[in-house]
Amino acid sequence: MANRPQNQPWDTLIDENLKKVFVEDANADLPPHLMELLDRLDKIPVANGAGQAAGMPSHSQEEAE
Amino acid sequence: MDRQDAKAELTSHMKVLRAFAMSLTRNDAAADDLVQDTVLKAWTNLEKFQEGTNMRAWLFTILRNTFYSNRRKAVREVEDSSGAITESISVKPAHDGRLQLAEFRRALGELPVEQREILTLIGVLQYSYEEAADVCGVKVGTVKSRLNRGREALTLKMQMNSDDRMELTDAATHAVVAASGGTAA
Repeated sequence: MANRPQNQPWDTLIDENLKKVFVEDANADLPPHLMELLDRLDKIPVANGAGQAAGMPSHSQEEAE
Repeated sequence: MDRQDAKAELTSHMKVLRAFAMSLTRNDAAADDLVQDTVLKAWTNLEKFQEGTNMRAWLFTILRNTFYSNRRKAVREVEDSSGAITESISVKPAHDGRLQLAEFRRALGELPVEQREILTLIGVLQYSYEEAADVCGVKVGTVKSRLNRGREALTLKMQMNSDDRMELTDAATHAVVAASGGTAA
């Protein structure tokens, strides 16, 4: 069973505000250049599987604490 | 995975992806750039995505890896220059919900990004400790520690704002009472 956090009263208020902020951001319209990017995805050449692009998930992504 | 299916699914995650980018950058332009880089990397490396697994989690991982990679490259750059200035403009405490949310945004923006990230994954997206640890590539203990420190900092800021409001209310009450020549009951 997943280990889920137990909330305290202030935590609940914080989570509610976090959700409001996130929802506000997620409801914002995407800017035109991102919409255009989606439109032209089909024309973008794809990798042949060789190499590792920066930022692609790997097994050594542990961030230094 | 069929490219058209992938495109449709990727498109369906765009707004949440941008909101996650905002939670990291607290800056519109930086968030847009981050989403653009993420989409391009995901699209050109689609063969690395395992069909049947969670595409949103995969996209989040690419996005956060890209964010931290860019941040490491730009260690000398001032974080969130425009956003920090905009958000540092003092907003007077008020009972209006939008202003209170603006205060909360400002407080959130002052936290270290690693704490904001965990707060978003767990507090908003309902990830378990283990899932958040997996996305962030850290141990569960680190997730708990960042979550606790983030919540403590926000609690402190919210309590301080709450105290400010009380003081303002008291001051306003005293001013009204004094102006009317009466005394507080």
